[in-house]
Amino acid sequence: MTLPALLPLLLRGALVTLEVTALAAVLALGMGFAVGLLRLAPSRLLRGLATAYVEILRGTSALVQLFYLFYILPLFGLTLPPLATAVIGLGLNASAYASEVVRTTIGTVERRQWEAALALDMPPWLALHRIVLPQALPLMMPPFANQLVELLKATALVSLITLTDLTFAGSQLVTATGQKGLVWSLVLALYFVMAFPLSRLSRRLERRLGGFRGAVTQP
Amino acid sequence: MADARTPILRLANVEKRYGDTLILDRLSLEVPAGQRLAIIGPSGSGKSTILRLIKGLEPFQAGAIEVAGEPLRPPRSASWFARRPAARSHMVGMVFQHFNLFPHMTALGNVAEALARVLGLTRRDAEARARDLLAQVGLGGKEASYPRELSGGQQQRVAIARALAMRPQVMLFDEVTSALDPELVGEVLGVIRTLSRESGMTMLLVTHEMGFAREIADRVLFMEKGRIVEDAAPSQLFTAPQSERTRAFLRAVLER
Amino acid sequence: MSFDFAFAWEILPDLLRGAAVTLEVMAAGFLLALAGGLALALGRRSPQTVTRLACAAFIEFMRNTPLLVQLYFLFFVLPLGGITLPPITTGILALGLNYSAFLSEVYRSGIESVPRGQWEAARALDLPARDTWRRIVLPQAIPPMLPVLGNYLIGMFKDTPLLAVITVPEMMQAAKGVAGMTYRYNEPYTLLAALFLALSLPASLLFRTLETRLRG
Repeated sequence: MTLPALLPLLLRGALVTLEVTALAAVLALGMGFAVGLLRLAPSRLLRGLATAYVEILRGTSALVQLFYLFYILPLFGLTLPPLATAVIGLGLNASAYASEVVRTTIGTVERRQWEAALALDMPPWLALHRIVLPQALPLMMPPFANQLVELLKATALVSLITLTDLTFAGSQLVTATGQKGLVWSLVLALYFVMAFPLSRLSRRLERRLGGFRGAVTQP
Repeated sequence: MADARTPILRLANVEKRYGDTLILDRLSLEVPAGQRLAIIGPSGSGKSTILRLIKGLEPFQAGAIEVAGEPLRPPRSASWFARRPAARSHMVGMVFQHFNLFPHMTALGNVAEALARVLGLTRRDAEARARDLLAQVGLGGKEASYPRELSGGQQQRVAIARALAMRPQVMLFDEVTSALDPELVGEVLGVIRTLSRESGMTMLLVTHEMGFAREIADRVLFMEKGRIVEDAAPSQLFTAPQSERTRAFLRAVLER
Repeated sequence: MSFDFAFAWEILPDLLRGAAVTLEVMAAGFLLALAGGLALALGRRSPQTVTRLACAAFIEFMRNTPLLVQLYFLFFVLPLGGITLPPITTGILALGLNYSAFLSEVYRSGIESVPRGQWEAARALDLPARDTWRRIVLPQAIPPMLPVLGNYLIGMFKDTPLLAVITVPEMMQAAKGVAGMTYRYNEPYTLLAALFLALSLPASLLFRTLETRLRG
């Protein structure tokens, strides 16, 4: 099989990769904000729950979490299609890292801004959403862009729970054509083409918005 | 309940610690309504802390604080989400040393924000009132400027307008000129001077500007290490201080 | 859905054996990454443009493609070029190469955080380049890097399950093996998750306290 014949099949897989990335990213952002803000709640119980959520998801690998959802959930009677499993698994995993970004960038907004808001008798929720969050959001962009790249790469794992993404398409083609070198090189190249622009964007954002670097890296 | 004789501010045996350090040592103070009180002293003496406690920005460990007869409950936890504005907090306005303007809003926005969001004015009314206040502090044409486009003195004047917008009965000025370049100090003091002349507000000023304190204060406190060392009228404290420590401090300050 | 504790106890040794392999692979992979990362970081500063560009390209490539696919590539394609390595070695190589790209960034920021004045002082004392690096720059660059390196170590630990796909007998493979043989999924995977947490949480805590200690 030649290059032109291989490409369409791989591209179809790439489309699934992008789909999973996008859906998981939405979930990750939503949960990330929710959990990140919960980490700042006055209630110790809520803070504790949020912290446990983050520590557990960060402390085990995404693959283990995916396998858990894929193999163990059905035993409890809940069988999800592979796409849903993939999106939930990767999305929740990424949300743990996203929540750390949210929590720490809010922490970098100067205490003085909180004080000024409080001095004007603004209730905490108002201070958060009118004063602190608008200042924290630009700072969140570069790490979020980074997380997106990591998420894109992590989607390769879903090939192991039978989802027909780019990596899965690659292994299928290798089995069908035996052209290991060509197929895997193409797969690598396609991932690069998808991820590199995001990496560049992230670096540009970091330069423009005054990079925020913390121990939030998601290796 | 507050009447003409109840002091508008009262602190009784207030003790505040930060970790192991004692910041306020059983401090007691009564401020009648309308008084202009200047607080001077070396850094670390606890002067700013008094203002911050009155405004409910920090917890205290012992004693009582009353604003217009209403006791203040210290915030319970360190988390900002647990802080609710203290009782009668709306009666007290505060201006900070570092202005603390909201960088993502214009001068008009800064002044109008709390008017609209906390006092519930419509956006239009809030902005109209904000415009008046900015004109009052001499920043008539600067409504659309962002804080980073304004000088330190201008920023501080916006901060004063912002605090005044809430129509407080007590204004707290926490070293409001200490972060300014010398040539900008005058414009801010001018605003405060006008305010003291044209309103009956109670004003507490923590300041290093001795001349200014002498000029507008009715009463001066000298503090050191969390205690009030001397409490007298400016004419007395500045010319014939009773305590040796006050004398030493004034000497050191005037020598600079 | 029940959790059979007796069964879990029975299979624990299998998982622990896998865990030992996991740690082995992780240690070797990380050492490779440390060495590779330093080499890349130095290469990025090389006066020769070719070296600089080659290193930059390698780093970009490794950082923008998934580890899993890199692993497949090494496992299936190297033999075609005549190099046949046992799965464990391939796994270590994949982890080491991938992480060397990330670690080179850590080295880079560590090196750049050393104040310019230090370099100038060394130059003023006519210290040769090698000594400048060994005695002045690296000793100052490394301590702040340690917590971040620690985080990457934990990251590598969490990536080791990938090696199961090329049949390396690490923890995940052991769990899958038990599940495949006994058709019981709950115990092995839960134990796996628990083992993961038991190993990674204390390590994270350690590195985080190290970080606050270094900063304060």
